Amino acid sequence: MSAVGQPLARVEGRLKVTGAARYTADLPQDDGKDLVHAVAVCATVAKGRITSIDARQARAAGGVLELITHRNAPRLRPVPAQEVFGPAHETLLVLQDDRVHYSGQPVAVVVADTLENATHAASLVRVEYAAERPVATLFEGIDDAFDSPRHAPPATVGDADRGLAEAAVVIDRTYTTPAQHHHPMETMATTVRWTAEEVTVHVSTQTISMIRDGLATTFGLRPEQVRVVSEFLGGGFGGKGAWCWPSVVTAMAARLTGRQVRLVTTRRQMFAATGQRPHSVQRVRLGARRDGVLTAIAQDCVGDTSAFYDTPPFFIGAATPVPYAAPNIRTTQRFVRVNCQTPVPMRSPVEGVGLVSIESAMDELAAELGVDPLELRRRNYAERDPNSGLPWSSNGLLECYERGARRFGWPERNPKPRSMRDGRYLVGWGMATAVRHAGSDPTSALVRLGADGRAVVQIGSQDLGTGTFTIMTQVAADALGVPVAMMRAELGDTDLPNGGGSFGSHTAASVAAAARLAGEALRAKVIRIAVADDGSPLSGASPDDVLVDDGYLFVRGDRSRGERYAQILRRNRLQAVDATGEHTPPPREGATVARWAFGADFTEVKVDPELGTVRVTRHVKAIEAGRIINPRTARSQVIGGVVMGIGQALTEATEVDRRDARITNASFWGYHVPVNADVPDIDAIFVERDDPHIPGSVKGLGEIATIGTAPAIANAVFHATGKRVRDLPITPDKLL
Amino acid sequence: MPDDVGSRESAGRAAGGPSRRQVLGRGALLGAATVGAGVAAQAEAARAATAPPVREETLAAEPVEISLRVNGRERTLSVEPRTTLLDALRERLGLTGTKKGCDQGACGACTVLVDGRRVNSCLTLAVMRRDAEITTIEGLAKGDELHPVQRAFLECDAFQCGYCTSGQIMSAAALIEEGHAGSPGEVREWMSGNICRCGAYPNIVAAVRQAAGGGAR
Ligand code: FES
Ligand code: FES
Repeated sequence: MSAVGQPLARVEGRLKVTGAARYTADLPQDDGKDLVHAVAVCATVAKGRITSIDARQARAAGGVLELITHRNAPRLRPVPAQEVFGPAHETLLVLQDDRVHYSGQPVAVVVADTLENATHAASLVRVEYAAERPVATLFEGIDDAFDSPRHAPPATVGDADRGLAEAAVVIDRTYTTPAQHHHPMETMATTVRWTAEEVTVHVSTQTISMIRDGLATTFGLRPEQVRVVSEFLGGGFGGKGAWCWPSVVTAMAARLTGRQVRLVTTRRQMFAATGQRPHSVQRVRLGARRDGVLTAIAQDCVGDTSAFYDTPPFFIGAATPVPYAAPNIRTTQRFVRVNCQTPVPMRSPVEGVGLVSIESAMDELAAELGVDPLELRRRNYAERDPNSGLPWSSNGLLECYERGARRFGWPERNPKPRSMRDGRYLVGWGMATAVRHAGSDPTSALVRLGADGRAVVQIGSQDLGTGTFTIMTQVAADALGVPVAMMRAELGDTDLPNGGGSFGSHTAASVAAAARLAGEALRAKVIRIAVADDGSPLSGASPDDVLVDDGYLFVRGDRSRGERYAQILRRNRLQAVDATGEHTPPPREGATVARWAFGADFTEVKVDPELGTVRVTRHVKAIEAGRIINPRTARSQVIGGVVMGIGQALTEATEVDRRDARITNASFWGYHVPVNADVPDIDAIFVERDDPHIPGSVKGLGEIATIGTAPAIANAVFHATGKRVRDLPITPDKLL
Repeated sequence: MPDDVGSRESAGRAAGGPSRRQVLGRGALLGAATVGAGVAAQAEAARAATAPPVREETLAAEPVEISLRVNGRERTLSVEPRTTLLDALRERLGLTGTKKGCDQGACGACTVLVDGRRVNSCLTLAVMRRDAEITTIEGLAKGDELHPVQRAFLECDAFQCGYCTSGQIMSAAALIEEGHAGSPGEVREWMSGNICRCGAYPNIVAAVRQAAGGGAR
């Protein structure tokens, strides 16, 4: 029986429910004595110069081994943006000079024998600054917004101005989305041992290969001198995907002390350690005929980037031309330099931010025209990708609309705002479309089969918690033809075959493709051994005629003529056989199809008219992401994505004091992520499609799970209250 | 004041020890005094304040030998009075199943049972718990046989990354004992001290209900 498509329980589940899974900060020290602790001291101004650092008290405090500032830190080499990871990460060279670019930037690192001593000594470091006036938010710097055509090339289809001029109805609205933080429950942890031969790094990262290459570059080492390990990760959501300072300063501390050093960023430091979702302003103009058919979409965005980053981050409007078949589309973005950390992707960098405004504006258009919001979207369904003009590799969006609406009961919706009630609560129903580009990364896998019939699949990728261990096991077991119980997965070590990053919804597609190729190559290899082996019942058979089922190889049409993998290996005195597989994604240049995942969110909110509080009471999400490898882990991933969308819509914003550019809510008390009581039953529907243009038809779920949820909730709030909030999150004050 | 915290607390409390509310209250008090608790967040708060009054002489935090009864075993260790129960479990006893998510009492990742009650172990000092019965995630299963809550979490896929899971399971085990698993709504409310950023909440509710014998819904 095929394992792919089965709801296999997480293979690492038992380790996680017994507390035995070892995350980075849990690793036992090598020899019981060597591990020491580092604590960062972070800037309390957002812009300026360090004028003095008084470290006398700190150095004299108990147990202190080292205190690193820009004066004594090892010199670093710059890490070019493309070398570590695409467009978005930190180019700041940490502890190299006296400049401060954002509040929370590390200005000193204390190393001590115990965590208590290091924490205390860090509190004794006295830093004086010559503070300058920072650019606190996007709004303070908006007059200096700049274009960066290389990073945000305006996307243009037809002539948007003409399309707007021809429209019978034009919606012209401006929306803002706040900076938000990922806040994986595991904060950023790094443990480094630096010896003459090797630098060994345990780190919570979404890309072990990036950390290896980045550390090698910045410290002037060869990549093979750096080994990076990350077996269990406590979430990431984009926040552990970027090159950022915690790993760098831990490596510095390990080099200077010769000890194994661990640094675990505090929750407060997580507000300036690994980047955040960008703050944005998005002006949208939709032009339409009276029947709702779009004549134009124009979106002009402004997003923030950090004051020190040498190239602006991603273009949040890049996916705007994708969901709807408008003949005229234009989307642009300008950037503002702000004294904050560099924005990084957060579920997702483009669609998860830039489509919030489009999906809200579509709802406003529907209300204006008196057309049902779902019907409006159907009328503008794109038969091909409007942006590239290419046919879709596959597209299940219409079925997502239909099945989602049916499950939700959408036809019962009274179109009039404020018309539905449940006792004192106002009830609102809203929906939105979700799209997400489907891609993958170059990935290598190795599958090894032992003489005991057990096999292992290895990839130097990592499991964020989404189920990568499990789906790898399933795919490799099928490819080799053994039961899943005989297959084990290994991830999270740069000594394994090279894997890509766990971001961009790429992991499942990349890992599955490579594991399948390696498993199939190994199966072919053993078959070749068997058919050439006089002692085998398969001797002389054509390799193409040998089938494998449950670890048993037999000749097509004669099940009795066969034997098990283990028998072949033992007779040939082979302790193990292995084979590798290399997945190379199709080139983006010259593509003949557009590869996207699709979804539709339907949501119900109940609003207290006196208090302005909003509760999501029901949510249905239908997703077409090709084929689902494991419906159980996939469902959990989608539920979790919707929960993050609830936070995006209703509670989460990183608040900055406009005078000094310091974050005012840097804790879980101030920054509200959804808790259990905020979350209703969530229904996930998978609309499955075979996609001949994508290996295994795997499009990825990580981001489409969240995209669409926040605008659906915003639209439901309008339906409930008649009030349109265009500034996320929709907190009670905005409804009163 | 801070230097006598250890001795005051280590004098031991009446059976049951301080209540969670009392511990919370003391945590805040220590934070206000800027030193003594060794909690990273408090040190940060101190740094953020202008010219925090550091009194060097109050910091001579000599380690004290204590014994803790953890998962049914008597463990002897040397901790400073400012060492939290969480750090003592993780860094001194190697019981790393209990996680640190915030070190501020706001996430529940560090939940353990102290005399059967759920406690945020980042908000209590190890020296305050020397006479208490402490249960961590490592002590929940009976040998190879998982606790019903652990089984239900596996069956309901009530986690993804697993980082919050130890705390969720400890909370769930206690809340079922407390009689707070009567309905999905009640579970949601009483499990809301445990944040799951992976958003496994609906499955967590199902798991708690199943373990409590109330059916999944
Ligand atoms: S670590 Fe104790 S509540 Fe968060
Ligand atoms: S399972 Fe990842 S935080 Fe709960």
